[in-house]
Amino acid sequence: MNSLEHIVNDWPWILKLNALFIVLFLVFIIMVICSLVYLRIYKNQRERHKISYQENADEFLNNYMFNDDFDIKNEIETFKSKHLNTPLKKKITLRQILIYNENFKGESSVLIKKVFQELELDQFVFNILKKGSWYAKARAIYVLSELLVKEPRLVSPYLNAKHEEVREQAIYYFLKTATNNPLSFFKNLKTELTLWELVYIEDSIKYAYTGETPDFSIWLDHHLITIRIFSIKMIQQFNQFENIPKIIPFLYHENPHVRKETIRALYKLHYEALLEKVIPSFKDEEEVVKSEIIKAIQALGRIDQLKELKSLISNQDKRTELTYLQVEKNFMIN
Amino acid sequence: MKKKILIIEDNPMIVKSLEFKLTKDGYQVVVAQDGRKALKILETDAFQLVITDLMLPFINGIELIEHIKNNIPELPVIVLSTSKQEEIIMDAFKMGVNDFITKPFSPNELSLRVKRTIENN
Repeated sequence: MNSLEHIVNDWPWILKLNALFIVLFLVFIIMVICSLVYLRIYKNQRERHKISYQENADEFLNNYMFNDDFDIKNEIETFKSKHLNTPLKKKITLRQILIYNENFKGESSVLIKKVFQELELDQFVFNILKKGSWYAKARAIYVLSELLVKEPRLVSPYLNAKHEEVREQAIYYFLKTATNNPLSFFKNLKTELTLWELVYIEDSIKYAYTGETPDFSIWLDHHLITIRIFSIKMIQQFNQFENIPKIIPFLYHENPHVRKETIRALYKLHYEALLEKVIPSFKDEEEVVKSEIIKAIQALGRIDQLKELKSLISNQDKRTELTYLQVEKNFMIN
Repeated sequence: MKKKILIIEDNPMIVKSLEFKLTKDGYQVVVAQDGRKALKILETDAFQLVITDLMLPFINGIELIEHIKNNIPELPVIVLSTSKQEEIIMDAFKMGVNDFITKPFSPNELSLRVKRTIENN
């Protein structure tokens, strides 16, 4: 007490200030250490709880799928009241359901989708979809896709969401849940698709979708240019020869990228009359289209047709010149 | 006496479900999370069937099957794997594997195949 008095009375102000800062600093350090210890303990406890929730969910799900003596009706009510009374418990059960769904097929896969609804976790996901942040919404749509929950009206608005991740999940939802006409969501799109979205749709149609191949020509009149281009490309990739007459008018479309894709599709589909339609307009074409016409000559034409174009290529148009030289070389080799 | 099955699998969810299902079917189930532990268990205990993944820590499934077929040739083996490559499946059968099930799998179908494999052996 005396020493404190001595400090207050006798020390110069600069020393007093120093002492004050030392004390404040020590208090601050002690608080930081206490917070870290508290956070560690809290995290450990939370992890323990998570493991216990996960074990409860596993036990319930395994009994639901494999135990014939399981009193499903009562057990579901008990599980809902005891083990689904907090959002964390619901999220962990949901995660376990997704893991089981991913690893199982057949009857167990059907049951796991059924229990998701019986536990009313679908309502939990719908609420996230309505009120959650954008990343939670993206995850919610993913859950609906994986568990094949048919609620297209709920997901449809997210096809035009601001965040790309949400849009991609919405596209995935429609592709994953489709049994036929997997591109029906195109009618709800309002903004052009990004390159990644187009690649994603193409891959999903080729490798994930198992239904009947759609008729891509129905999207040729879509108001979005990216969808028209995509449809032309798919007509070619799926060899829909019957749609050739429908894409020919796009050789005269105002957008050069549409014209380019049409030329590419037609020569890959071996449309013999293509060259007589595109060579006359070569001189006035855009660079991007000129290169494609030259490639079309390589696929369907002769070297003399190619040489006729040489004088029509400007010295500044390096891209077309390079394509010309490559195609000319290929003609020489063959 | 209950027939004993050794499950060698590192995915805890699959282990739990298989253990649950096969125990319900009346088998005694022993689990090893990796190939090394599996070899130790096989040295000390006798089993009527082994269910193994191919992608395992320390000793992979192929090496493990090779070891089993060299040392306990009468012990039937079912492979449970994500691999759908024909080559790998063919190699496994050439090594003497009794059945090959690809993930995602149907636990009920697996249960039937386990029953059939044990009965046939």
